[in-house]
Amino acid sequence: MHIPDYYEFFNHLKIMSGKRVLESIPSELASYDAYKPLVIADKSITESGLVKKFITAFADTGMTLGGIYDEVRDYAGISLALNAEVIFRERGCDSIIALGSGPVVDVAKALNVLVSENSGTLQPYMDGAPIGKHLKPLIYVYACCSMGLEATGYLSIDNRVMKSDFLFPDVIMIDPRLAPGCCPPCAAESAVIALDHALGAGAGPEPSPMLDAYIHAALRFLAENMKKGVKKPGDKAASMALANASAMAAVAFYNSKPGMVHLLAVELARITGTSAGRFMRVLLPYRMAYMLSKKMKIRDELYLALAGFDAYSSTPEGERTRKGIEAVLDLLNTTKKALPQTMKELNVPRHQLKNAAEAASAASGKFFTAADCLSLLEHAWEGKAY
Amino acid sequence: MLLPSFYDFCCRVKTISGNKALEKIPVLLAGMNAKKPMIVTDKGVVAVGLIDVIKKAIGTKLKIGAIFDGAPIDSDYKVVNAAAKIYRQKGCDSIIAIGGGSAMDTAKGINILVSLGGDNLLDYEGAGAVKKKLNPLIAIPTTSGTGSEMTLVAVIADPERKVKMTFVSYFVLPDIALLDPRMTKTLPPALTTSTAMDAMTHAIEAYFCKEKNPVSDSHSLYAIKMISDNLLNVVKNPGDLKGRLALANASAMAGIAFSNSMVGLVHNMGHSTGAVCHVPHGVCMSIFLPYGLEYNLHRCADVIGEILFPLAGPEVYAATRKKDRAEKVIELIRKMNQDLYDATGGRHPRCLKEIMNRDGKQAVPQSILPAIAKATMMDGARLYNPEEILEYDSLMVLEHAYEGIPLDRSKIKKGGKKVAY
Amino acid sequence: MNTNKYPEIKPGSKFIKKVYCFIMLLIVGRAIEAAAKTDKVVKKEVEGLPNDLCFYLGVMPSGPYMVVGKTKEGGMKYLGWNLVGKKINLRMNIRNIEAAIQVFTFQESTATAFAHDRFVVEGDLPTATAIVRILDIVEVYLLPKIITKLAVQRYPKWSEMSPFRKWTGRFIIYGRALGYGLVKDIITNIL
Repeated sequence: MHIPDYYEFFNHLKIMSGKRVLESIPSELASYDAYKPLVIADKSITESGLVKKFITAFADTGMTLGGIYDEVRDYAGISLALNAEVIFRERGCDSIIALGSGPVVDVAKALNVLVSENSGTLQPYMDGAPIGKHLKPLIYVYACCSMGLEATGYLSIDNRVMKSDFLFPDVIMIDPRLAPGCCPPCAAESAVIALDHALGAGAGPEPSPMLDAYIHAALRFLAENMKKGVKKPGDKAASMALANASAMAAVAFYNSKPGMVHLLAVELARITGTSAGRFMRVLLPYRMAYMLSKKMKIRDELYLALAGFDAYSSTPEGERTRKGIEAVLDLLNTTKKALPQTMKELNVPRHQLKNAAEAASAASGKFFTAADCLSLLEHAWEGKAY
Repeated sequence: MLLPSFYDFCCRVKTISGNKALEKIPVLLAGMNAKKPMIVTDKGVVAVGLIDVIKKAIGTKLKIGAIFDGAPIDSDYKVVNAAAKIYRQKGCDSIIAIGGGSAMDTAKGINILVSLGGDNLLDYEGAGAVKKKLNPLIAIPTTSGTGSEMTLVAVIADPERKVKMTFVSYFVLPDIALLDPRMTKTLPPALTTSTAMDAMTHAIEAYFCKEKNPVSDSHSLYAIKMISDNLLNVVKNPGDLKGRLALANASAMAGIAFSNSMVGLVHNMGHSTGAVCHVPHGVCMSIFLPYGLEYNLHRCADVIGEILFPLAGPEVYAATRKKDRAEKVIELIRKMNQDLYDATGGRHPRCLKEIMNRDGKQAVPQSILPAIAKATMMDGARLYNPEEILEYDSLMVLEHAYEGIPLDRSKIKKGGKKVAY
Repeated sequence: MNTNKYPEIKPGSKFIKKVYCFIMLLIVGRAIEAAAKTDKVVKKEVEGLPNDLCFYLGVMPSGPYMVVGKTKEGGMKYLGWNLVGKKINLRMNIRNIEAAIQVFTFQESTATAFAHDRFVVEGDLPTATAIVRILDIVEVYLLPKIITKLAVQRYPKWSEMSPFRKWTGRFIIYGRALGYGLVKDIITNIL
């Protein structure tokens, strides 16, 4: 196995997954000397009553919840974080719990920067100022689905993205009471994002063995559970495994360069307002077909993760790439009923493809050429094979 | 991949690995707002000239505040207190720990004291006493085995009370683990084998013991693969920097795996033998490893069988029937010990009676086995082993390990069929 | 903005679960005392414990607790549920009441609970390991085989504990644990 000449790897997360995990929140907070958290939650969670289970986890602890700010829906804006800051300060909170997915965690991270740095605005950090060391403890409770970047040091708010090691949540909690997804599209989308992130990280330049370890776990879980998890989002075992896969893929994503599919999907999502996961679903098969047509190899480590020990051992070396790509396509096919299959269904205007390709190429630091990106988009748009 | 009914995993150490990793130290410290590090190490590291390698790599970009080379073999709280005094006198703001397990432990202890204040480490005894971010700490291992650059524990002895205090907190973790093959290049063959087998044991035990979890598992998987691919080569060609880097990576990953999923019988026996007979930890590990597998075989044969894949590669894995895989793993580990014995000219012991101390006498005489068995009952690793271990079980295993013969399976008391993870 | 829309929340209490754990701890504590007089293996384990040992097993963050100490004569003594005024040198906490319920309803064995990080031990770890061993034996005496099998790593074989020894031990330990001493313990603790 190849070990790069130089690599860095960092994962700040503590992952806690399994039965009765929520009940550990108070003792986790206490280990940071924190006793009064402010909860940022998704409106849908308070409406569905799940939040009650969450509150009973604090029974007998003597801790008080500083409040549950549940105004977040599917857009993370700075005004939400500023409102939350008012509550945080008024109640004298000392820590943050994010209960939900994507936007909730982004608002929580933004709030954390605001209350820890006392800056009143995020502008300087968006422009590149480093974040100091001591952010408040932030616990992320996985609920329903994942947008792929919660369990990383990325913060995306008002369509701007920043990255810092200090933005990692301290703990991610995956509890079977909250992990099951609400509907097949939701579960499918978060699985596709995890799949894309894991594959993208594994196909990047010089992956390290540590990165491979996270990719391995993520892809194994996806390969074994995606079918069931998408079909029955409420299945506890499958949804727990997919939630774990999301967290591990996120860590892998954070430690590698973003792949082409991710970059293009994010750009298209920005243009159309549709979520990025849906674009990943459409673009990923074409990326696979492109690799096949260029005779690019899938690394053995990736195929091992997709196929498992037994299938890997019984596949001759020359077959591994083809079989690996088939395995990915099979996984994507499980989302057939849940997600749109073509670019047309996603309403992308043709003239925007070029803009998206150029923006994605620029975002990769010219690692992917604009021509390659555009070619992928055009193939996908026309639905033609490589 | 198995998802246990509950698990937690955490390793907050930033890993920097590479052939030119040492050159990064000034930048890394600057990134943590530190300007004047203290080097904490032991006399052995200084003697083989590793400090000079580091000084050369750092160049003039960084001023070293102090070099403390007094880390003892069993880290001692008084040494920690003395070193903390030097740290403060010289106005240091960070620590670079260089060495094996004890140098790391000493450095972690110093860091607790200098960051939280006070001049006696004993004030911070007890779980949960460390609740704040400590000063920057960079750990540079010089043996590829202990994995202590990745663990959240500092074990520090109090010789007067004859206790080993453990300081456990995520804040005790080093900020950065720096793996550079130049730091392990000079490690003699016998130490290379024993430390690498120590890492191998971490990885394998983490894979089948009770706190097994998916993230640890995949770390174990790659660690086992890297060790079995590279160890024999490195013993034969000590200057093989690529192999050295692989072993350093394997050791770090095994450290991550076992500190998150704990260890069982092998460590239980190893700790106890080490404590009673003062035998190096790694040596015990390689001897007990096949017994740990045999003893637990009936509880988790399928899990142990999976280890065959990274250990022997896909061809052997495919050629071995599913029900024979676990036995094959045990066989290969025994063969590995034999190969290492041959490659080091007999300096890698295969059984307890082959361990010699400095005077060339047997370090573990047969008469002492009952005392070791008694000590195993007091070791925490007992709880994480899939099968129950009681005193007479330990003694039975010890007697076999003394002679180096495979375990008599009929003597194992079986408490159940499968272990619940 | 109106912050009153997001009020502070003071979570309640899980009273029934606490009472259940309290009763279990009371019985186990008394049974440890009884087993240290009755069972030779427990006796031997107790001999190996430090002489000034006084430990508690409890639930974080606010109880219930059981305090047990070693006596001058080399036995064990149940010292009640109050922590105040006792020189405790080993603290064994279960992380939260839900985890405690898992352990005390035998859905999770003691060893598995350790493996799942449910216990927080402050103090000498080897002593804690020995206490877990004592707890295992006490469970064998107190509970029917079908339940104990879930709670311990390996149920004792015939060669390790004969049915005769088990049943006589069971009667004596139950007798001692629930007898006159129990009432006395409760009264002294309340007063």
